[in-house]
Amino acid sequence: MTAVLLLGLVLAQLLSSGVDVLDRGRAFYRGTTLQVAEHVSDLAKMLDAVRPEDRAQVIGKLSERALSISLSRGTDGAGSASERSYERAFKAMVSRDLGPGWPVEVQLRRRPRPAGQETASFSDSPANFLDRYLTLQLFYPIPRGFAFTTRIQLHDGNWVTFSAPLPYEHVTRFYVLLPKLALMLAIVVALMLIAIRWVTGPMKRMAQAALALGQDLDRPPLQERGPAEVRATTRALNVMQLRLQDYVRDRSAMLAALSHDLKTFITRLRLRSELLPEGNHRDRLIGDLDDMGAMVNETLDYLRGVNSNGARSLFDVMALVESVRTDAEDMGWSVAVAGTAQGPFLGNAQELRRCLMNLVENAVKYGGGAAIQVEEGADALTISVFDPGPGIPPEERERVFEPFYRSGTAELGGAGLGLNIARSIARAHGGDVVLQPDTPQGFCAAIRLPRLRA
Amino acid sequence: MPTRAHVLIVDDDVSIRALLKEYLEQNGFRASTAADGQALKADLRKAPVDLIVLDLMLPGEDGFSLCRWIRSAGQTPIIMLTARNASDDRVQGLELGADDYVAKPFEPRELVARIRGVLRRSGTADQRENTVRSYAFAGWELSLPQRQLLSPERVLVPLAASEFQLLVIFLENPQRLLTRDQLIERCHGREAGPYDRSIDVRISQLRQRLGDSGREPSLIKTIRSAGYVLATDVVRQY
Repeated sequence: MTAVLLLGLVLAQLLSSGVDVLDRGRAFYRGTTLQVAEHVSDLAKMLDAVRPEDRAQVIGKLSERALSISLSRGTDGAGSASERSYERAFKAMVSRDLGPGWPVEVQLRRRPRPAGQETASFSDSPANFLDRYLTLQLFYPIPRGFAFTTRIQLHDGNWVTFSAPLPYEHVTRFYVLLPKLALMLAIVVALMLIAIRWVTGPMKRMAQAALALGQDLDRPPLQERGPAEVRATTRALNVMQLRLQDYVRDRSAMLAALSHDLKTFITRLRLRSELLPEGNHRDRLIGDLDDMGAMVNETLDYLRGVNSNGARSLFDVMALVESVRTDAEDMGWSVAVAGTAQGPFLGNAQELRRCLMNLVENAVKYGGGAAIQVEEGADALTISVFDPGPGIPPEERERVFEPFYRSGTAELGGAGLGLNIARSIARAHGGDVVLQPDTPQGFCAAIRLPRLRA
Repeated sequence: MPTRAHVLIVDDDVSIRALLKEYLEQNGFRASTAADGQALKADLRKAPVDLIVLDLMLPGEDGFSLCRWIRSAGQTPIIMLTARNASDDRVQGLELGADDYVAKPFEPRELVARIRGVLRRSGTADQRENTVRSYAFAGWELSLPQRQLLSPERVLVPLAASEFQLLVIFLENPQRLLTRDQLIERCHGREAGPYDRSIDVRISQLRQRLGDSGREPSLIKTIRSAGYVLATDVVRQY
């Protein structure tokens, strides 16, 4: 937007000063030409009135630096064969001032050369490129260095020749205007930029805030600043955030209440199942109830959120990994551990244990086994969980982090919250959970944690 | 047990009360029920019970407050029962003097195992065993409510559930020979699952956690062809 505004502004400025210069040039040219024409015809009339033998003396008195006057008995042969439009126009001016009965010839000649020499053509003009194309062709009809040579036949048959240069006003030289123009433009552009910033600054902040809302709905509301329209939009955004918070809170409360009630029913069913006669069906019923219970617990865990400000303390990384392995093996899962960590790590051991356990559970459920690899970098700890399974198709790789998403490739129970919870925990520790599809050891889900200084 | 232990079930859900009563009676307990705190207090004034299974969320006075009330009156063992799963609840419940904590939905057999465990401990010579909050030994510290093991360097050492269980058995019986059979029986209060590993593997894991896995372990010593002994003094904190 800024670019479009700037371009428009510069163009408008250039055009208006162009038109201005053109008008000025035309008016100036017309004015001075008229003056010269009048001057020339007045002098011609005066010379006509003077006795022929006194004329040379009068001419000597009248000649000025800018106007040379000479007498001759006839035309000097240049003739008036092809008159240019400038010449015709000047001739018309002079003729009008003189009135009828005065033969007039007008020629445009290069000035520094003495009168009587060949007429220079416009193409010989020494003017530089700018002069030629901006001054000459656009704004000002006559280039510098030319003069109108006007020959007027007096009533006694003699010719008087005036050579009058047309003044060349420096303002018409376009490039002279450029510094002023540039200064003006700079001021206007600066003012515009300030105005734009004033409007777009808050807009940008709002855009960022709207994006950040997707990550954290409970972020503090935006300050209402800037022009009125922006303030109104900011207010609308803040109101929207409040409504979204209410909405999410209501839904969470509903889900929590539902999960809680489900627990009561599962407990009842679990007790009832114990009172049933033993058998295959009872075992399956108990299995289903266990899955339901796990799912409800996972959902409540998710709703409870990650205890991001939970107590952090130094803990033994390898003991954490090994304890996860032991718990997993007690559940009949096969888990291997490799690598070492250097010294204790600062974090919430309980949450990180849950994080790793979720990854191990996924590896076992979807990949048939887990291999945990601990790597200690300079300032980060990486705990990778490999599994030999098929991994996750590329198009699902980000979606698996969404709450309640379950990979369609397997119906293996669970609420689909494991990865989401794992990632939240890692992020609360300033790290992340990333998936790497094709490592030599198979599919890999890795917890990366920056080492926090104690 | 010579006489059947009397368990009082306090839960606001009528079905759970009835079903749990039936299940506990099937498993050799005498069971009675109360729907809320008022009924519980009335029952306890009439006659003492051996153990109370107490739901945390009750209409009126909640489980935490009732737990405090029961403790102020005596040492009746309490197992907290709750649909809330947050570990904070467990810590709070145990700090208020509950002896154990079972989350709904629970496995009925596990509840029975816990009831038996708590009753056994309350039957030991040291009545105060139930209110132990932490054990200190050889520079280490095990906090029961938090289930946390702190090393002499004050570094937290996470434990697997089975490792925690085994360590607690040793800490309850310091300087005493525990035979493998005893340990197995204590560890598997419920019947042994198909994946339970041998007690020797568990001991070696626990030694590793305690940095005691050298050629000659000094904390948990092996008594050849007899069992294991925790060869250090244990300080109980209440």
